[in-house]
Amino acid sequence: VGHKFQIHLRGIIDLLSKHLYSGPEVFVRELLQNGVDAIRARQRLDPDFAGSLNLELHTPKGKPATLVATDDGIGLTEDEVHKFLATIGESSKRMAEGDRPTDFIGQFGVGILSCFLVSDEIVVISKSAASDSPPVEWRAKPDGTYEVRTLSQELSPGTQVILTAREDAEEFFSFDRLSELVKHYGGMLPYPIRVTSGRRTEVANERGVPWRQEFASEKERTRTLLQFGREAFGTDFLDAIPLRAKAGDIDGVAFILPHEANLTARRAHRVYLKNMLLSESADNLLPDWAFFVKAVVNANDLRPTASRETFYDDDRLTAAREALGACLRGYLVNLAEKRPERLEKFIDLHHRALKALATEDDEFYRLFIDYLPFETTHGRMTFGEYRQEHGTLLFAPTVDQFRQIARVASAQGRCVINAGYAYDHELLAKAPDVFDDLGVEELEASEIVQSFDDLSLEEQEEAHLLMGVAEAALKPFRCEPELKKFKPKELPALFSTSKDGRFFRSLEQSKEIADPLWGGVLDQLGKRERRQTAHSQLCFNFDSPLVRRLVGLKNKGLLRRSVEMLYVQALLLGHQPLNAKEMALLNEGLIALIEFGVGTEDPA
Amino acid sequence: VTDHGEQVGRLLAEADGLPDGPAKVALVEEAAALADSHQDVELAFEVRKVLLGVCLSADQSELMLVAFTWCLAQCDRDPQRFPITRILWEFRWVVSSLCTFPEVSREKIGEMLGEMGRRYVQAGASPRSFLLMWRKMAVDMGDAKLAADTDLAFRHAPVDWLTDGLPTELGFEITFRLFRNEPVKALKAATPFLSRQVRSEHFEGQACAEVLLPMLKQGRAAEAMAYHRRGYKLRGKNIRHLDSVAMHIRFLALTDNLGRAVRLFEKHLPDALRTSNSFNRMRFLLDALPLLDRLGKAGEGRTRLRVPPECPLQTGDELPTVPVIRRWMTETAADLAASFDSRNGNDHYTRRLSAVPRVQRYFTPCPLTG
Repeated sequence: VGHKFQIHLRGIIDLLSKHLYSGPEVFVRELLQNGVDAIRARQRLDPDFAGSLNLELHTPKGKPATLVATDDGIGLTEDEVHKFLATIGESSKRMAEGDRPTDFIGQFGVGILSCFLVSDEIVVISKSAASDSPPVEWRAKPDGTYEVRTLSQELSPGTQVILTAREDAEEFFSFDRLSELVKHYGGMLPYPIRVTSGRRTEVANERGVPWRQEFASEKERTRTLLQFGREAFGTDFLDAIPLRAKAGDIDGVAFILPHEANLTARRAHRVYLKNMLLSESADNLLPDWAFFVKAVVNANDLRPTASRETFYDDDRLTAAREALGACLRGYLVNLAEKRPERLEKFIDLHHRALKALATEDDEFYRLFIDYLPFETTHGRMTFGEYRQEHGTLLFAPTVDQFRQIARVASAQGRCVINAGYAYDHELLAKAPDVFDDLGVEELEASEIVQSFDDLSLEEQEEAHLLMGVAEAALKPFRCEPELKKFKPKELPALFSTSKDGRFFRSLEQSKEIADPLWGGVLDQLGKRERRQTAHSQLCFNFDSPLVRRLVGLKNKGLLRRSVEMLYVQALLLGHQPLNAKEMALLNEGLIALIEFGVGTEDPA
Repeated sequence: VTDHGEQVGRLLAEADGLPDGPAKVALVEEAAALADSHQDVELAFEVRKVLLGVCLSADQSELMLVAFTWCLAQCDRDPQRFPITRILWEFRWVVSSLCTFPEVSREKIGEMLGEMGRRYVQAGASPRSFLLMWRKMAVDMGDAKLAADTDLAFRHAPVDWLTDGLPTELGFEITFRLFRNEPVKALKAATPFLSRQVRSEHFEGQACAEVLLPMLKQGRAAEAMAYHRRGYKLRGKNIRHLDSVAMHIRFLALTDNLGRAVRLFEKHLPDALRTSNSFNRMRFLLDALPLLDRLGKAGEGRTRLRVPPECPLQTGDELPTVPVIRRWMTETAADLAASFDSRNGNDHYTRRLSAVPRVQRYFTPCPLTG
């Protein structure tokens, strides 16, 4: 008797193949999953039952290949076949949340349909171990029709799924490809899975779960796990960290990446659910700061999302994530205590991850802050090195401020930290809470100028003309001249600007290319109260021989030109973008210089 | 990749790892400056596009406006290389931020809206999104007539590639309905976010905050409490959402959860004083004032509150008293309201301030865990 599926099957299959499943090969996963769940169900009747799975390929000449997937699990009666195999979304595993056996992998009841991705017919022959009913055969077509009949022959309990290769899916019916897929999805399953084709046969999961093996020593375990990592991902990882979490019943291994990890790169971990591969790209299993590892884990008690790509972000996953984070943290603490040389190598690559963790975790901060590197005016230094030499953490709050003061601070022997990069500012701000005797001081470029030595009254008098000319020349650029003495004396002038000053420079830069409408709006913005004080500063260095010569110069025109050129040079040294007016200064100055040179040449 | 290209890439990657805020903005700004100093206009354009989004999230509208002006000028200079379509989407962010600056005149805002419309029409886009923006600005400027007129036009404008998604249109609808004192329609617009039929963390956060008072007025305090719990989590972390935070504080005060209300007030007042967005500062003060009224009425619990160093009331070790803080908040809000009203040519915000005490009539004790 022909029966009809209750919904449009073709549409469902298309939907599955396009949206729910990553590719047709997932039919192997679904076959294994059904088999394993059936064995587990049978084990509930008979706890000593061992269980096994067989995938047998038949490749008769001139005919399409067939695959017979057999499990010796619980099997189905005719009623169950009608109920479970023919109603989409129904499943023998679907029960109220509390009643659902926790050892089943599947729960969406659509798994078997994935076989239509590779075969135009699905034949299921099943004999129930729980009832005396005769074996039953279910034959289904993708147009939505299926037939069920009982069989008269004697069969031992279990289920066989028979698939016939569709032309476009033949690749999945070769021994090598099938065996590869079985290893991929079911390599960790606890029941032997035999793949057979002609005389070739192989137990695909012979090696079992690498991190659950017995190891003679810690070293032996690391070696085995790293070997597993190499085979699984083709990467020589730096180290392997065993993972375990009670929440979610999780175990596994985290591999430390052998290269610097991008903070923003998408995390993609390989996760197994009840030992069956769930996803290669689970991204929410580990804490955000753990971007330095690639993990392979099995979870027995987490809920997969409908797409089966990752886990539901519920309280259990949150607890599991914390526990896995604790494993990684424990590893790092152990490194710090027992293997400093390895820690050094680790920090070289992954200090940003440690910084991220240290901002969140005070205890970790205490343990690791001394090892973490920072960019300073004396080059890269660890926090510990800095702390040993200096009683106060002197830092520039942004990359821009750091760049402005780096050269001068360095010449003056002041070691300033660049706190503009990710996490650095927060880490430095935390320091006084951890180290009683350590001060923290923020240094802006304008402040460093204030710390330079002042000129005597006579010297000021001497430089009167220069400063007058400089004031007039720099006014259009909202820049005020200063004259001080500072190191290095080779540096004739230092440009510095505050956050507001910098904003104003950007505003001017945009305004000079904007049309009148937009320029007008920027003008109105520029009139905001705090903008009035948004000046930059050009501090001339009285100790510089060049500036000394300028002080002696009486030619106002030449003096103005020199000031303008020093201003542009100071901007360039500070990597400040030049606006059009400043660019014009540079060009005019260069031409004047050439003319000056040409003019002094004796035309002989 | 060039050297400076690599450096820019590094700065952007560093920025990407940071939460929305000034540090993130500073890194992207630095990347733009680096591209500028190498006169790499193409890179500078791309970085500024990133900067626009970062500024939006960190509520730094001034810098957004400056960066956008630069981008637009490049589009006008070399339309082949920088077609205007590359920044039309960001256009609306910039224009909608204009009314948060009291120093930008109403006339200028009108001109800018006209400019946005012109550019959209030239690019062959439907006027729908700029009408939506226009309506939002009319609401922000307290102009009921303009809001009604643009609303009518907006509803007739077709949807196309440049129109905002459903969440944005629905989100703006809530605010529009509340502005028109149509709480039933506002709640209807909020429902898809509250029920998560429409998914948008941003607008879900907004909806959860905006429905609190209307629900309280309808006697649905316990129901609203769930939205307080959900909504504050979504909005409490970003300085950009100070206005929503203040709505939560007001709700807590009016449901007699003064402990939590004070905690949130003390936590967010520093942001309200530090933000460069004076429009948001005004809205925070207006909506947080009912808490101070409540504390005054309750006559129990905290009589002094913690204020940040930026607050002129903070002198010496002693904390200022509730009446002193209330007076100062009222005066500050009044000054801000006057400056916005004067620009807007009406008395919308001054009236809102004088209506603050009346909200106490909806006082309905409701336990936080209820």
